[in-house]
Amino acid sequence: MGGLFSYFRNLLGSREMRILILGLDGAGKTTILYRLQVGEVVTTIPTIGFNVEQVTYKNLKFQVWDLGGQTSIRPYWRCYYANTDAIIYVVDSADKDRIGISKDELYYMLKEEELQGAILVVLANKQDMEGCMTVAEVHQALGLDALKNRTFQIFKTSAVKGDGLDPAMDWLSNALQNRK
Amino acid sequence: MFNSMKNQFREKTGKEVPKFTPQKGGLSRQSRQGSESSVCSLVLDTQQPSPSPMVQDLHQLKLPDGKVLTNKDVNLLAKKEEEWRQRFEKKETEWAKKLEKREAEIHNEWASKEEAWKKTEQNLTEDLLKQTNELKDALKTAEDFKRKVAQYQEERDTLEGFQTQEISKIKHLLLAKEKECSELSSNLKETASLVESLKSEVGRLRPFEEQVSNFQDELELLRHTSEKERWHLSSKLAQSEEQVRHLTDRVAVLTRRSESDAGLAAALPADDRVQALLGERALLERRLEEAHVHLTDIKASWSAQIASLETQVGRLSRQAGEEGAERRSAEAKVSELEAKLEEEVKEREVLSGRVTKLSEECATLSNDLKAANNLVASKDEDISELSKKIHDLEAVCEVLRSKKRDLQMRCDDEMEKARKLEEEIENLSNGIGALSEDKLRLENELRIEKEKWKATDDELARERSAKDESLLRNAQISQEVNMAQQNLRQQQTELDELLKKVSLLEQDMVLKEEALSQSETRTAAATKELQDKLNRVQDELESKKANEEVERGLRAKIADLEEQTTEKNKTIRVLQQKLSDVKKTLQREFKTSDNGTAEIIPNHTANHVNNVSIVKPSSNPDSEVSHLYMKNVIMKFLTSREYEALHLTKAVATLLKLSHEEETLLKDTVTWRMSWFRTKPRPEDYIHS
Repeated sequence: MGGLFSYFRNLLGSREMRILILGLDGAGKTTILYRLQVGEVVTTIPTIGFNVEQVTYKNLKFQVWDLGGQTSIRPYWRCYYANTDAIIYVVDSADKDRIGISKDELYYMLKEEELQGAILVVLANKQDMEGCMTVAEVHQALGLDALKNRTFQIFKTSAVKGDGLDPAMDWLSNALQNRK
Repeated sequence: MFNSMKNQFREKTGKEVPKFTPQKGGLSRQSRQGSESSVCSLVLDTQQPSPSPMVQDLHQLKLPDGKVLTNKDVNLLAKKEEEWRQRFEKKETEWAKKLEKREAEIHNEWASKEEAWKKTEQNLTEDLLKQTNELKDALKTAEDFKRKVAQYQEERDTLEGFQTQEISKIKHLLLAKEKECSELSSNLKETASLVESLKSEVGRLRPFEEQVSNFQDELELLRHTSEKERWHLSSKLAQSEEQVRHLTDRVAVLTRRSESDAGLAAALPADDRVQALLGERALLERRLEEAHVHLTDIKASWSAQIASLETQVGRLSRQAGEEGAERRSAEAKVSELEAKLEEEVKEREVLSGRVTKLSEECATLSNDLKAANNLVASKDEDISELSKKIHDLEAVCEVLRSKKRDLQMRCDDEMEKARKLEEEIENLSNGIGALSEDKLRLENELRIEKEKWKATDDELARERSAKDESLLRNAQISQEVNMAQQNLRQQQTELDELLKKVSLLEQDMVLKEEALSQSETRTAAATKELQDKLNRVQDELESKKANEEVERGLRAKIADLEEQTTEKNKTIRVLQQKLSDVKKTLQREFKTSDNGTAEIIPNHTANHVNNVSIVKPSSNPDSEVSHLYMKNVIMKFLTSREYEALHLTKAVATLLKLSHEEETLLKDTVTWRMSWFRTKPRPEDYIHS
């Protein structure tokens, strides 16, 4: 009986996981969103506003919000933090100049009260570019060693080539299911 | 004249003459015109330019003739010119006609030539088609032959495969049979060794047999001796019993006599005594008769025994005779025994002679007894003597009996010996039988082995025959293969011939192709024009097609765009409705804010100071970006699902700088839209709270 009940509960009440994709402008957030949704590379324009799509990964439904990362609209991110299950923070591994800004934005974001329970996935994107930072370097530059009380993981990805997204999503879906 | 001039003129200028003629006809006018035109210019300029054309004209008229021409001449010349012109026109028309005729002729010729060319082309193409068909047929036949060749090769391969398979099978069978043969030979050897061992055992056991037979003989001897003794004792017992009986009888007789003697002595007269004696005599006579009967019985039994002994002896002699050469010693013994037996028989005959003598004596005695009976009344002494004599006779009888017993004993001994001999013979015969059985068994085994050997031989022969058959089959198969190869060769030769034919045909083809190419070159010139025309037409068609495609694409695009526009119109309508709703609510809000207390406003500002400071960008492009952001977010808010809209309320409230109450109103409105049973939230409720 209990098993059956839980089965129906899972069938009916499987709540969509709310995931935010954040990061500086031009990090590849929109590309990652559509790579996850349709599995293809789409030509994107700078997102002024946001994109929201339903992504189904391994029978898990995610409502993924890709928020524009331009400097002037970054302050509006906090309007979307409520009821967020996970944050995918995208970093442009080739942009060594602005990695500091990216780090600052990440820490501002993580300080928010509404995101204390959210799982963090850092994607060191654009690994296909020459002269880009490695995962360890990105880890170092973002100062992720200092993170405590936070479920997080860093992955190297290339949204254009589609590399590394599957492990990241695997880890994320496992982490979300375990948290439940 | 004029013609030459005209020609010259035409050559020089390349223009037509008629342009020139009106100039001539309008000379006066020209002058007038010139004068008129030069009315203004003449005032300032010199008069030279105006007369100069006239002079030039006159010069031109003058120069060829060398005369000055009058008006009449001019008229005449004009008339002549007109005539000439008419003539010229006529000639031109004639020429034109001629040209048209020529053109028509040429066209006809062209058409006829074209037709002829077409015909020739058709003929050539037909020839070509025929030849190509022929060649195709030839190719087909060649392909058929190739296929056949392939089939033959396949069959040959399969036959070879079968051959090899059969050969391998036969080899396998042969190997198996050889193995069986070797096994059988080993079995034979084993059995032979067994037979030898058995023979050796038999040789070893023979002395034991002899010993066993000796022991058995001894045993039998012992048994016989015991039997003899027993017999002896039993005979003694019987004798003693007989004696006892005799004595009891005697005692009874004597007691009666004593009684009678006592009675006699007392008072009885002589008659009674005689009577008593007579009774005694009768009794004695009865006894004598009994003894006679007994004797006769004994004689009969003896004679029967003798007869049986004789038969036994005869049997023994027969058996002894049967023993033959193997047991000479036994024969010798038998002969000795026979001799003894003969002696015994002689003795028996002697005895029987004695018996007869005794019987004769008995008869004489009975005669004497009869005589004595006649004398009984007178003498008892005679009786006593007679009884003594009877005693003697009895003793003699006993002696005879004992002799008989001895004889019997001897006979028994002889019988025993004979039995022993018989047993020995039997043992020997048994041994012989066992040996013969062994021999028979061995012979049977040998026979079985021989049969097996024969069977194996037969199998070998069969295998050989099978091998021969297979070899024959092989030979047949190889013959077939050879046949197939010959066929193949024939096919190949045929193929070669066909290939030659094909090559010939190809050469013909080449020749014909050359002819064709020549004809084609000929026709090419004609066809090129047609092709050009065709190309032109095709180009036109292609261009038309391209245009059509472009048109189709454009139409599809138009349809898509129309669909998009209809969709957009729908969304716009929805949005307009929503906008009107929002406007209404905004108006209400404004009204309420107008009506509301002033305390809210500072709250507003206090609430959103941070946001404003963040949101309000100082630079112009940033404000554009934020405006664009606000537009996009509100558009999304209006067009999105309620669930997403709920998440967007905060962003919208921040962008529109809504108060907390307004934000909650917005949120509640969205949740009301989502829910089924909730009542619509009234804005009035949120103003005062």
